[in-house]
Amino acid sequence: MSAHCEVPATTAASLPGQTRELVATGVLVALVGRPNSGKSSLFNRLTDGDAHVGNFPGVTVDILEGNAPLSAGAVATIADLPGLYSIEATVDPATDEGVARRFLDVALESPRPLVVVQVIDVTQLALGLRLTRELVRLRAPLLVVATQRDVLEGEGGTLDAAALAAGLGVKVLVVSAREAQTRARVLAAVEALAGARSFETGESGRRELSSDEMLALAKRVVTRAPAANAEANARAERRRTFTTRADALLLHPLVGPILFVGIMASLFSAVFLVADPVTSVLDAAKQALGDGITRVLGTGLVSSFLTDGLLGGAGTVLAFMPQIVILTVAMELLDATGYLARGAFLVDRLLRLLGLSGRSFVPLLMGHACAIPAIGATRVVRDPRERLTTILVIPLMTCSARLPTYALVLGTFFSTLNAFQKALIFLALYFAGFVTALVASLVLRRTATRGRGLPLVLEMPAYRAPEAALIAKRALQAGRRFLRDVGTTIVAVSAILWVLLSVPVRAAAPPTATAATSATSGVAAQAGTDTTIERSIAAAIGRTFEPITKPIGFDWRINVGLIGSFGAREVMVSTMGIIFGMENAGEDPGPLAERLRDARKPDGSPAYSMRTGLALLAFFVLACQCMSTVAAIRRETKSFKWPAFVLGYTYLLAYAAAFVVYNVARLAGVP
Amino acid sequence: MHDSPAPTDGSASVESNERVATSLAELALAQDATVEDVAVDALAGAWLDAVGIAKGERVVVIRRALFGGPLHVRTGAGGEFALDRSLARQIRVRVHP
Repeated sequence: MSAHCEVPATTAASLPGQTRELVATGVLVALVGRPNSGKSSLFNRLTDGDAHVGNFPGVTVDILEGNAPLSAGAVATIADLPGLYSIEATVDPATDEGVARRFLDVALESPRPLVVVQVIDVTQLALGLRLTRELVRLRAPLLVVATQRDVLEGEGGTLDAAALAAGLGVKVLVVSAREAQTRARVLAAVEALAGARSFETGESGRRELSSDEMLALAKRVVTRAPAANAEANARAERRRTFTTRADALLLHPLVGPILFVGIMASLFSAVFLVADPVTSVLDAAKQALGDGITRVLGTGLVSSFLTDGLLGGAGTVLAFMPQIVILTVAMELLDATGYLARGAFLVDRLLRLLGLSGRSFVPLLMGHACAIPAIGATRVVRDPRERLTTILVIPLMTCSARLPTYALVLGTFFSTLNAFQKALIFLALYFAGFVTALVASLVLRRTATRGRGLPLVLEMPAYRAPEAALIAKRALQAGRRFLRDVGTTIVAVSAILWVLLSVPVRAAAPPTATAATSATSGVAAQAGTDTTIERSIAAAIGRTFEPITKPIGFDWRINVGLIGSFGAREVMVSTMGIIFGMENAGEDPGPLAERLRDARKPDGSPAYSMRTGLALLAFFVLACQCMSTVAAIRRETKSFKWPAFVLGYTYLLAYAAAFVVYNVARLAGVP
Repeated sequence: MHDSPAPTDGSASVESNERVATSLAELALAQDATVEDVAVDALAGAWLDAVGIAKGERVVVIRRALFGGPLHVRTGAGGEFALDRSLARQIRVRVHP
């Protein structure tokens, strides 16, 4: 379990035995409940919003934990387990149910006192009690916390906590997570239960109810004042009617899909409308800082390492932040309002054809904006194999970072085509990425991720207003997680790429003489970048790989561009610019395109042709040229195997596609 | 719950003068019914039980997604679920008159 709580020894020594034990070890509180039971709201209330990802041995997914003070200096560590329906029907150890079961098994074996707190939405008591039937069989103190008391009371109802406690044989609290005193009440109950030497003492008389007994108990303990009955019934009816009417519209066979497309399009637009300006500001700040470093340190290797290596990596991380935050907010809004489940319902059949389910749709769609938040968004997919498949194919979606490279390649190799023809190629590239992702998911579900899938049993919760504070907190957590887990990898890889591109090696043979390289020699004064990169480790690697990439039309310079753009695809343009002596190619690729067109081989023939452009496009459509994506996959799968798998299969696919395109185009007479 | 497969051809059999047994997938919309048998393996059955779809539970199909997509089902405990249609074919229900 996580680190024990630090307590001043002088305080602990003067306490009675049980309390002293609690002070010494702390209490672990496992918060369990169905999805949409109000568990997260209670968790935030108990931890006062101070949560972090816990380090629980044997548990491979993120479980948020936070500390809460008990009396006499003891501390309870609250662990927020995934929303679940059962802890016994663990179809797969990687499902939320399986993770919770593993967590509880480990906690039960630990000497640290454990209290299981089940959160039940009091307005859906009968549903929540199904899980209680299993929890009473656990050999751990159990506290049932019925939330949404304010909603029930708003409908004129009350819950007889004593009757419910008697019926279940466990302690029951009725609370509203919106009220401040809820924290103290729950923690006091936790402490009382944890103080017991064994759960049998305080928990004797636990009852395992049959389905009928459970329904009867749920009906019996909720009472409504006769005077309030009519109004309460009317209010409850209004809530039901709203959900029914909204569903009639949002799940309508014709209107529903249209609205779904509209909502998704709005979500997608938000990324570009809101995130892009913020990203631009961050880019400008990074540029200003880089200029400042260059002014102070000059243009030597140290300055280059700080600005291009470290600051460049940090800039990439920051550039992703707005998208991460906005897309997290969007996902949380969709989920909290209950619409995400409706969307999944609408498109489930379509995605079933590809071995996925409706839940995968939104992450796949997000992948068209940016793979990083999309990979994080796959957490909404409950089926672990389906989730893994979705993660593995998201890098094939045409993300916005591919566009500058597509634009450069189109402008360079297809300058004779008109705007409409170029637009058609753009469309084909998008389509190719999408179709390949779908075919890949079909293949993966029959190979690498084959196995029994979870049957689709997806709760369709009543529509409700989202809690702004909770969503903001989730977005913040997502941002922090990204910075810590993915950001550090990006900066590290960026530094490595800088070494590859900037540190000269003696072994690197001088480049073959070409018109292009001759032309670049005239701009060697540009911080020596052109000559440096030609003698770099990357250039040596590029030349080493030339025999392999020659059949697809790539020479060592394109290979270096591909190495450089592993940091971020759009860097392909500026890396090629450096090779060809065009310092500002990233901002204005026009002159670079001209230089590429004019480049010649030693025999005087053009170094690149339209076929090279086609092969390069095919390669970029499929290759996972993005260290951030690789880091995100590593973070979400908690393994090196799957990021390596993605790199392997996408590069193989990319090479094969480029080979086919290059050679078929030659047979077709394309210059 | 047992291993015998539930009828999947959509045919409903008359069990008595008042009640008809059919699969959940074939149940008419808004028709009240009680689950009679869930012909899936024990683990999946336990999971369905946990969400409120088990022998003796009341269910109503609210709508069906197009092209053989999932069913929108309400359970006796008040929960609403999207349920895969192939799974629904394995759930035998008795229709209330």
